[in-house]
Amino acid sequence: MTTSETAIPLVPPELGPGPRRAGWAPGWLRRHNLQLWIGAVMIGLMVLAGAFAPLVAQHSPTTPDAMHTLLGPSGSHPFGTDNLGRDIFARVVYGARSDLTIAVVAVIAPFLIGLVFGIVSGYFGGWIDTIMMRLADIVTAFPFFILVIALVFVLGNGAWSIFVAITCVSWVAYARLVRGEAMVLRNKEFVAACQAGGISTWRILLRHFAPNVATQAIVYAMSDIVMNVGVIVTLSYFGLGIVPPTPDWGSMMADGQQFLAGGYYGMTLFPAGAVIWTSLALSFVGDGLAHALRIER
Amino acid sequence: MTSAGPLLEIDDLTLKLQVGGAELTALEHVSFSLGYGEARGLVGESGSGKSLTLRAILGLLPPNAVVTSGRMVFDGAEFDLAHGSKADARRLERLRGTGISMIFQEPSVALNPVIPVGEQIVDAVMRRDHLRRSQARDYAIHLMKLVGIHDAEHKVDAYEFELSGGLKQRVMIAAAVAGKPKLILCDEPTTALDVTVQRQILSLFTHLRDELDAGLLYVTHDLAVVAQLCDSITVLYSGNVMESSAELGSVFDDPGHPYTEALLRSTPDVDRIGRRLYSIPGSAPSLSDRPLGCPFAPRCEYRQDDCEQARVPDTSTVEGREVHCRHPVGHESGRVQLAKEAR
Amino acid sequence: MLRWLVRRLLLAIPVVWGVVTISFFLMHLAPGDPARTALGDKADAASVAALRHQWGLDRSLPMQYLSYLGQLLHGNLGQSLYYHTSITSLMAQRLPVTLILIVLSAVFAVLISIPLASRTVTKPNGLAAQVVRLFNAVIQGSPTFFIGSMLILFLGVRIAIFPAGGYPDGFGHRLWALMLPALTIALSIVPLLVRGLRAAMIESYSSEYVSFARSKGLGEGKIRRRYVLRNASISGVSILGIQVGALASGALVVEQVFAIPGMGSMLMTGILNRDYALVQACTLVFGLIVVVVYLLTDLVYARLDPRARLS
Repeated sequence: MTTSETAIPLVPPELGPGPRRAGWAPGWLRRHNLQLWIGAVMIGLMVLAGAFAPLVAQHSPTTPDAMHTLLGPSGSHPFGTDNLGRDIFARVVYGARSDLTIAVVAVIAPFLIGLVFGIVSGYFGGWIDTIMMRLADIVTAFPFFILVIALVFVLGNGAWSIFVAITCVSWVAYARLVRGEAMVLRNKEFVAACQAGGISTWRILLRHFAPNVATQAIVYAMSDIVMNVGVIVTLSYFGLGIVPPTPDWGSMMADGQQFLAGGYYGMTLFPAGAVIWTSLALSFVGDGLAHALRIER
Repeated sequence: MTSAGPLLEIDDLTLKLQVGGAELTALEHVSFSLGYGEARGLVGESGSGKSLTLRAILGLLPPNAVVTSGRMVFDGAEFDLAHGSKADARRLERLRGTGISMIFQEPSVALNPVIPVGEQIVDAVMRRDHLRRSQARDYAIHLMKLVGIHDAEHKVDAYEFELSGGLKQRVMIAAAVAGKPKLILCDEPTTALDVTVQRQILSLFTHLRDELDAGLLYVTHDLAVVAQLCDSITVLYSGNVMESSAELGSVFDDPGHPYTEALLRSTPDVDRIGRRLYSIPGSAPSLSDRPLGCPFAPRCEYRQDDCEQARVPDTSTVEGREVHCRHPVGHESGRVQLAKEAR
Repeated sequence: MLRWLVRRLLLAIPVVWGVVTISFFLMHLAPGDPARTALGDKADAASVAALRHQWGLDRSLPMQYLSYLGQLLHGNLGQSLYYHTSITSLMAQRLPVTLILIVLSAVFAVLISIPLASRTVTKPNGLAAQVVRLFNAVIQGSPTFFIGSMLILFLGVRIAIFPAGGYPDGFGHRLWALMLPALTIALSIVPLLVRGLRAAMIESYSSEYVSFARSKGLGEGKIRRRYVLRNASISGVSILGIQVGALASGALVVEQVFAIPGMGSMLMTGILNRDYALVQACTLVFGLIVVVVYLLTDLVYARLDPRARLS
């Protein structure tokens, strides 16, 4: 008997007690944590393609070919060619390199900063906590993308300023998340036990707090990478991100836009597909992790 | 009023819970009945299935609970409680509020925190009488006074969190009686309250019984409450009926089932102050490792070899009394002696 | 209630101060000389010095900060290099457009999210619920500008129901022109809103007060309206409030994609033309919008949830 068949019809089957299903994927995906594996395979394929781009793509991503512009998908050009005759498949694959690298790198620093600030703030409380949270309030008062774009403008184009801008803004989310967790942990019995046992504060924080709160932050990091991909792609779409001719999904979509009305969808849809593929993969991984770690999201 | 036959009859109610892939039997062949205006105590330890029984009657089970068999007769109408009978489930739904209502254990979570409590009584009033909202509100105030809320005109606009536990429970009682039901299910309505407030609520129940002429199915683990409020008793243990009697006094004076006897012995009593309270050895079995025969056998002082074999037959000692035990207390002289000594 | 309001307003003051301060430092974070960057390499030293003077960069940092605060207190947001006019007057034209766009998209987001969330809660395994989940997952992964250009392609060009962009004269035409942009922004936060509403509704449905309402004999429709949606709307309001930043970011992108002359496109103009004062002012005003919306959210929240009025 399955749950849906046996539940009393008056109560929707999902509303029961017991661990609430995390996640947002279609039902068939959620059983047996299949989504973690599917997400991992999807993102793995994208990473491998980017890493071995020269082997995967037969053509150069940057060499124009005036004889073969705006071609549809074919055997030699699986995704077709763009308005300059460049191979879209190669550009998508090389784009994964630049976009994913920045997206992932721009998660590491905020993660670490947020982890440290959050633990310190949540564990010690007091004025450190007050200052921290006011600072967090101020940073979150700015719309995320608007502050990032303003910072990128001030710092100048390029990967480095995207990285700095994202770090300045997104550590706050980690700090808040970790702080909440740390405050809960602080009141747990084992902390009192450790303190009674004469274990030093730093040791408690390092050995007991960091691993416990980090799992939450790791799950959040998955959706944060998705957000970073969105930011990088949007910046590049506006010509403020990765500088051409380096292939990047955002600038590819910007180039393709003017050809949409003429019926040439490939230039826009393939890079968009890559973005959506990456996001789907990472949110599957995030939801799957949350489910595996029994974290409610 | 159909006075032929009982108000409520539950027959062979079996309920399974799905917990982490496993299926556990939470209620097994539970049967009892309740006359018009009768108050029956449904007694057992936590986990014995008392609350599930109430919820099964109203069709308010959690989604992981499945009734596999069970027949209910309410006020002459028959219902199939077993899962899958959608038409019966819908008929049962129509009974709620006006035929059967329920008072929950925790008034603080059973009232919606963002709607004034008066409105929640009004909802129940409007269910029965097609009044205008202002009239329904007046009636709600009247009901609140009936259940002993003095400044009902003010409290009607209060929110749940602005009231004390006792007041919340009174509000819930007012909402439960608003539809003039023939049967009120009470799920340990005094457990979450302070002792002094418990007294007040109990005397409110006694008072309301006379006023409303409704049947009462009162779930509790407290035999003293049953003694004060009820006419009859059904004792549940681990999802099974141990003993059931239409006459409360006979059970209290002369328990038939060793479990009932043990319960009585472990209930504090003013007459026996200073004597050490009896406690039943061992702990209630979890639903997954219940023995084949009598579920109480492993903890029973009078256990004999045949107790843990197949299901215990009904042993009716007197009319209106059922004892599910192969070796009821009082049938063998030695055992009576032992029991008398203990009391 | 009044005391609560005053307290809440006082709490907002340090945040406003922080927002102002961060916007002030935006011009000072730039590597090199912003005036030189703004005018380009070909500009002569005299005009660079003039701009440095206009932006106050030739004074000491504390003096600059004080005069920045003083100007703001007089409602003066500075001069735009690109538009050759006062930014305050530009803002008076641009801000209403963006505000209408944000409000409109919030309304759309709610109108779309409630039925979707209800569907996934009441029939979680139905086909519609599965479609909603897939739709959500795809939308969540799509950049806002991509959603916008797809909507233009299908509803603006292929089936030309809505204008594909621009901002004509006349209130009705303008409102019509804002439909697709607002829909685009709305879609970008629908997944979050559906997710939040869904969790709140599930919590409501499994609560004891819904069981009690059922035991009183209330019908499922009434329970949904009066007990579940009402309680879920409270968390809906706070999600929407928190997402105002996302709505504003969406406005920035969408105004650019649809050529709507709002604050977002003004910020982009400032960025593309290296107009530091304009970027500074737009960032500041966007920050202030969020602070004000947070305040309003708390107010609405307190109206909806009597418990919030207690503390």
